[in-house]
Amino acid sequence: MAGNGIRIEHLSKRYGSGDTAVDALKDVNMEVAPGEVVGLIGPSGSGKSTLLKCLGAVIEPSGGRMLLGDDLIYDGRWRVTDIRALRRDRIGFVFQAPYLIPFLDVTDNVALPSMLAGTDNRAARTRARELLRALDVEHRAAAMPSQLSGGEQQRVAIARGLVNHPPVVLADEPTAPLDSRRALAVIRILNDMAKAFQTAIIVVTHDEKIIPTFKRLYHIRDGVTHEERGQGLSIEAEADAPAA
Amino acid sequence: MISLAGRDILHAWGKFVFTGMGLGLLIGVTLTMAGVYRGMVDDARVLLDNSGADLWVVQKDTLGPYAESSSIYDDEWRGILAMRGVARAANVTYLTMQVRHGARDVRAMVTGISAGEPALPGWPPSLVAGRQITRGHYEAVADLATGFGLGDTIRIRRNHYRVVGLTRRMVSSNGDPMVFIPLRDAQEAQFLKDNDAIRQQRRRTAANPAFNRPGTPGVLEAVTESQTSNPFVNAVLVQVAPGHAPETVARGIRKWKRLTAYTREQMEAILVGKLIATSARQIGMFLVILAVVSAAIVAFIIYTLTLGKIREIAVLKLIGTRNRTIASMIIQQALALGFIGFVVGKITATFGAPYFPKYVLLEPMDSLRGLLAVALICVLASIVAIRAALKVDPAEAIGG
Ligand SMILES: Nc1ncnc2c1ncn2[C@@H]1O[C@H](COP(=O)(O)OP(=O)(O)OP(=O)(O)O)[C@@H](O)[C@H]1O
Ligand SMILES: [Mg+2]
Repeated sequence: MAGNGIRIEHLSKRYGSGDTAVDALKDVNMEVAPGEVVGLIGPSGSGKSTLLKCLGAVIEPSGGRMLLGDDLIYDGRWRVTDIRALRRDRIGFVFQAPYLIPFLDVTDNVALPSMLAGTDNRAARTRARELLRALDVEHRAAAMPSQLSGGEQQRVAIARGLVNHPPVVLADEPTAPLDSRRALAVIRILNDMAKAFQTAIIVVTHDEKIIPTFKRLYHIRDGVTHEERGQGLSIEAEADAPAA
Repeated sequence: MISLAGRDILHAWGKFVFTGMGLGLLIGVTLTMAGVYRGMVDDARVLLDNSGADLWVVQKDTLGPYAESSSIYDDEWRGILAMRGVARAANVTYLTMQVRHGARDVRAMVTGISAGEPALPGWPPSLVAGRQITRGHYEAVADLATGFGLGDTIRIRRNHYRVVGLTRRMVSSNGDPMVFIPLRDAQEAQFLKDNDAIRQQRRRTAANPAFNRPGTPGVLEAVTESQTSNPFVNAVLVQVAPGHAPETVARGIRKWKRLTAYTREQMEAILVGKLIATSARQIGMFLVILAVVSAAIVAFIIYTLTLGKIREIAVLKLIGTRNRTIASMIIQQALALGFIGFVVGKITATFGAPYFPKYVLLEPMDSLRGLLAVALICVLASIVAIRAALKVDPAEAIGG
């Protein structure tokens, strides 16, 4: 599954119709390689969330093309029959708030997308535990979400986004509730995971603390993307301190 | 795949158990109501069974002796006994009244049974203590439910009776315990007037020139005599001889005696279909209300629980959970709630039944029907919650 990347060409999205229509996305062009983490920044109302929803196949774009690896996903209409399975198997989500399922323990929270995809419970849990280990929260594997710190919850949420080894992970302001050290730790984890699983990761952010860490950024203004070079600052030193 | 519903219930078990218990009390009341109806039907059947009769002969064109009043002459039974297919026939009277014992009184159905052997229809078929009535007057056999004991003296109208025997579960179709006394006493009790009324009647009769003719002194005496005795009974109970169909015998009685005769099935139909029909409808109405209230409670609880999980449902949908899985999670929770409620209700009803003044009969089939009804109600009640859950947009998980 790994190693597909994502490509978006001239994507547009119009909400509503007639006088009240809003062109949230006008001309979006992006390309993210497997193993790469790119930032998506832009002022409020510029279309970041809309873009993420299109990429995540929860709303339908109005035009343009989207490709996952060599597979055409959208070109004026959906090219996959089972959108739900697409979301489940090929796209991982990490949100601003962790949104863990409160009645499942940490392991099952992470394993759930894998179980939903039909993996048997044991194999799904084993995979979940591997990810929890990689994210340094394995010791909390049996805890309930309410017993975790904010940083731990966010790492569990990242593990959940990665458990099906999706070629694309969409992260919506994943560091917003975290202090700068924990925010950098999360970015480092995303970079490590991108390399380890050859995942293309798109991080929507306002967060000044982490913007300098991206090697490549997309800036979106009024629904139009502009590619920019980032500073690509190393985060090793700061993030080595034990996280949250 | 793990059971999402199960995990959620385990996580919030306190909420489930407490609402389940509240619902359970409601279901307990419902089961008890059904039991009250079954008890009434059973009381009616027991009354018919214990009378030992195959046919009830009553006043022409009445639904007597239980559902309507009926009176026939107390010598009709001889003619009936002489008819083909009749093995035994006996007079019987029924009068529901307050029976005094010391300072308290008990509502009872006083039954007059004709003197003779105990095998006569109308007699209590078996006793739990003491003996049957042997003397023609002032002895009584009472049901345990009256609270009377052997040797107690009870008062019916102006006469005192000694309790010589006790029965169990001999009740009227109203659930009142029965007290058996000799027929003559019972006829008197039905008819008896106080002394003032008797004097008053004598005076009026004597003042009537038609009855008090000079030269024929016997007339007045005969008339007063006929006024103070009661030659009526409520019914004649008939046992049919082996080899004869009750309906055939009944047809003969109807034709030749100009009386109405009912078979056991007809009598049961009268008791269940007419005497307790209004009560049954009343109970049916309660059952409907209780079902609606239970459904409303389940619907409300499940809806609230679901609304509290909208965010999680959006996330579940976003990561690829089927609508079907989410709907079945909600239905399973509603069913779990209903099941807890049913168990609590069944226990409550079982332990509560003996404390009811009237017989409460909890039939296993009713419980099974109750369980099915609860399941159906729970499924229907989750529809609102399921609709709300299915409307949740996975995009909500991503937010603005
Ligand atoms: N469901 C909708 N219906 C109509 N218009 C919408 C809808 N969602 C978003 N918009 C509009 O589309 C534009 C882009 O919104 P979007 O939420 O993508 O912005 P954003 O970049 O995520 O902003 P923020 O940084 O404030 O979250 C905005 O003008 C917004 O008002
Ligand atoms: Mg947004």
